[in-house]
Amino acid sequence: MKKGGFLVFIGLLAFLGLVFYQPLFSVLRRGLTEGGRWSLSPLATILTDSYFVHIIVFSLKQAALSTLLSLGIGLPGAYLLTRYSFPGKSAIRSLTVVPFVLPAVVVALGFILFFGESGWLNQWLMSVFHLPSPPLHILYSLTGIVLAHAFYNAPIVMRLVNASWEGIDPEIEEAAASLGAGGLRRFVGITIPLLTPALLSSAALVFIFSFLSFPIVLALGGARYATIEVGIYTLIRTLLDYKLGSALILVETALSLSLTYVYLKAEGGFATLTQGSRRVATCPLFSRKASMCKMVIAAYIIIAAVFFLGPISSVLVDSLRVRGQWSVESYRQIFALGYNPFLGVSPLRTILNSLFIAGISTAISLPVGIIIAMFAVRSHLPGRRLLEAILMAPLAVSSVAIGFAVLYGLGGAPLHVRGTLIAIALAHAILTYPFVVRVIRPVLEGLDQSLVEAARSLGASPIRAFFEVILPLIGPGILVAAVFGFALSIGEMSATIMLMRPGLGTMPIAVYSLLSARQFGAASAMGMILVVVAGIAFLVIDRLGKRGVGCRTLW
Amino acid sequence: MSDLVVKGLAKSFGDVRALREISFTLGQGEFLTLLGPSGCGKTTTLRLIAGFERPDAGRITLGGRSIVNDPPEDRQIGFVFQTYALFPHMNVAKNIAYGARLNRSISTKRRVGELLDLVDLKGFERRKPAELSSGQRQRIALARALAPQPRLLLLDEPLSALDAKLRESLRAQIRHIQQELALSTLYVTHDQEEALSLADRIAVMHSGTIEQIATPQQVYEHPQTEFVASFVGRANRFSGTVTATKDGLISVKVGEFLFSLIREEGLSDDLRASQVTPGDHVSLFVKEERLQLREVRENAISAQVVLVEYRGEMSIVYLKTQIGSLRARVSTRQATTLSTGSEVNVSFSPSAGLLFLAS
Ligand SMILES: Nc1ncnc2c1ncn2[C@@H]1O[C@H](COP(=O)(O)OP(=O)(O)O)[C@@H](O)[C@H]1O
Ligand SMILES: [Mg+2]
Repeated sequence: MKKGGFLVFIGLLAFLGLVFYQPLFSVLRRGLTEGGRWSLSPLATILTDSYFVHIIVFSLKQAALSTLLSLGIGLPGAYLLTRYSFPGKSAIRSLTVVPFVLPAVVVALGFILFFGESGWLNQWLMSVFHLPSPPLHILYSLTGIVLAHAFYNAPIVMRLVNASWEGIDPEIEEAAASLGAGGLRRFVGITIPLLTPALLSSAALVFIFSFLSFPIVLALGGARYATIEVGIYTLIRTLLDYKLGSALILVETALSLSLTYVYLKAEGGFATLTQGSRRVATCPLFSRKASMCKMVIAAYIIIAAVFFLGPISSVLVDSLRVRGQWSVESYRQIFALGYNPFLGVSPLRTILNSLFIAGISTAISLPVGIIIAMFAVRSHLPGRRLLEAILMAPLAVSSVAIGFAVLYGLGGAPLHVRGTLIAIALAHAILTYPFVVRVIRPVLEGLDQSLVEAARSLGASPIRAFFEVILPLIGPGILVAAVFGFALSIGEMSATIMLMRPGLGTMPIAVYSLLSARQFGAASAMGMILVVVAGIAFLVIDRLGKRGVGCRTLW
Repeated sequence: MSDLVVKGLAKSFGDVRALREISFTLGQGEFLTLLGPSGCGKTTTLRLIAGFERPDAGRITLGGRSIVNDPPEDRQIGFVFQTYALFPHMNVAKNIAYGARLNRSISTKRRVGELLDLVDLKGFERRKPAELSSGQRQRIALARALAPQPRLLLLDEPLSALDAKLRESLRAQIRHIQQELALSTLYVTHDQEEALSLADRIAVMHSGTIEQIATPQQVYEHPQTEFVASFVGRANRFSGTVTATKDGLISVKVGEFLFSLIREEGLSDDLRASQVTPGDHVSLFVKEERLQLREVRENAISAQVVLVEYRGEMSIVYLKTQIGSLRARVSTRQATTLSTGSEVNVSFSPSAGLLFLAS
């Protein structure tokens, strides 16, 4: 048994070495060579050229602003969730997972349709206030990017901070009160310090996500607002400059690894959280008594509802409207077999491609993730913490970089996958397996080892104990991991676009191509399919997640 | 006829030597308790016998046949885990039936009914483990372990997670069931009261070895080693030097005081065999209930009352003397006459002291 497990693990390391580490290293090495020799000159070019310095600074700046806005929107929400009770509270708490499975390009589409010059919000404002021209100009600017990132990340802040807040033992605050501390003093002196690890780690997480975000910046930033990710994409796919592209990847990876280090440090602080026996007391949000405070809360809820529901509703409505009439014409278009000039293939082909890729990707990432999770939980090897961190590296490397690594480093022998759907599926498997690990790991950790021993002492063979005791207990977790990995693959666009060839398009690429061509009806219909997939994934994760698959594990 | 024979068992985990040398036998139908402080290797001993770990050295035979190479599922040894380890996805009936089903000679349905009867939980068949109180879980865990009709039952601190009242009633129930079934049982605990009240024999363990195996009474009244003397019961310990041995009496000097002990009573077994000579450094143990505060006889020390602790019928008196702090257990009637700070004379009879050679 033990020996078999060890061999499987070695096989896994070899596989990941072949499809991920070696390709990534060859990309990073490319960024450090000039004419076949080691050289710092590509790096020097990046770090001295005013354009590249500009995009590096812009990437950090937009990430910082996105983090601030996400905290600004998310923290009041966390406060409401913690301190008030209201109908639909648990639904809202569950819904905070949704952005994680919602493809970014759909969010970008929703923003264009809702916040754009001729979007729903501007039209409504013009008609209500009788304005001659659209009052809001937020797309294709820093504002648009930051808003879209907040759409994505504020729910994460809300969820993480709320979970931490509810974990604070109310008796700690009561102790402070009995020692004479008033409300404000308790908040500043007790609550804030106890929430600090959650605040820091969610801020770090949002910063990393925003820093590495690609589809949103590509679709909403326009030409003037490029980040490092967009810069890499342009260098490699448009200018075919692999050398400078690789050097830029090197810079980006160094930055994202440092940020991830900060995140992991902050996340470690969660371990010291107090676990209370009682829950924090809540008061009903909707009661007769009106107050100034309630007005502020109501305003917050209305703005948040418009902000989060507006873009998604716009996609739904737009997919059903053709030239001012209700119609399912857009859906007929995207299920058509015929060649679409904007996509380079038939729309139906992109749907089938996505399903094929997600299937293969899940078939790879699931066993890879399970093996790593088992290793993390069971192994006693010296240095296993470090090895585990290295195995989770795809979390800290941008998707565009991983896409390029697969393109550049894995094209030829022995796999011969360049220019195939398999290459895209491999990239997706690399991107998603860390999430499989994060879902499965706590499930395995929660599994009491003595259950197996109990079964054995009652006469069950190891195989029998696995099927009758282990599998029923971890099965739901495995299903959640599979669905989660599948949904992430279906919505993935960054690595996919790096590996794109004519005929290989996927649904997110189709949405992007259609919206670039201003075919909003078809883009919305295609987007709605992605929303439905995300919705199904959400339901599965939410239903089964209640049994032991905590949401904290997703991040 | 002895049923389980364990000989020379040793087990290390990396640098930690969990078991150094464990040997004992368990007779058919006997109830043996492994008693020792946490970390002394009790659980490891059980896990080796159950087959969850392999010993580094030593033999384990059950009914005359070596079982060291058998996987746990072939040993027919029931195990009750400290945390119960009930299958959370199966209801009570399925949990109990699990082992019975694997053993084809048993009619599963009847067996489940019998066992629920035995542990007094009829009507709980459909409940999930999460819907039971911890006392009920403990009884289901016992029923599940008994279902396949094991040849030997191992229990690892099965009552440690329960409150005192429940612990006492389940303790009696476990003993009753064990006697009913005449089942050979090895019971691990760190609670001396539990061990003393339950067992036919007690094995006192200390850092991977067994210090003494004997009946509860022998372990309590005639501890063989200094460790057993300090772990079982509550004793006051003094360090002293032997000054004289004559006329069946031994004189021991502790600080300024000279105590005399009766040779026949006051020597531990290993000391009795060897020669005690003047000048030997010794540890002197006097159980707290053997200290007297009323009439002053031999071996008297003057003491000051620090605290009187009410314990119902008996009370504990904390005392300060020139040779250290003492605890005495006296009747509450007597204790009420003592006030904090008052002076008393403490004494003990020459037959109450027990000597060990200081190591
Ligand atoms: N699986 C293990 N790995 C490492 N050390 C262990 C393991 N199991 C037990 N030990 C160590 O062996 C010693 C004895 O443990 P155990 O048998 O559990 O003691 P007890 O049950 O008497 O409290 C302890 O020092 C413990 O830390
Ligand atoms: Mg133990």
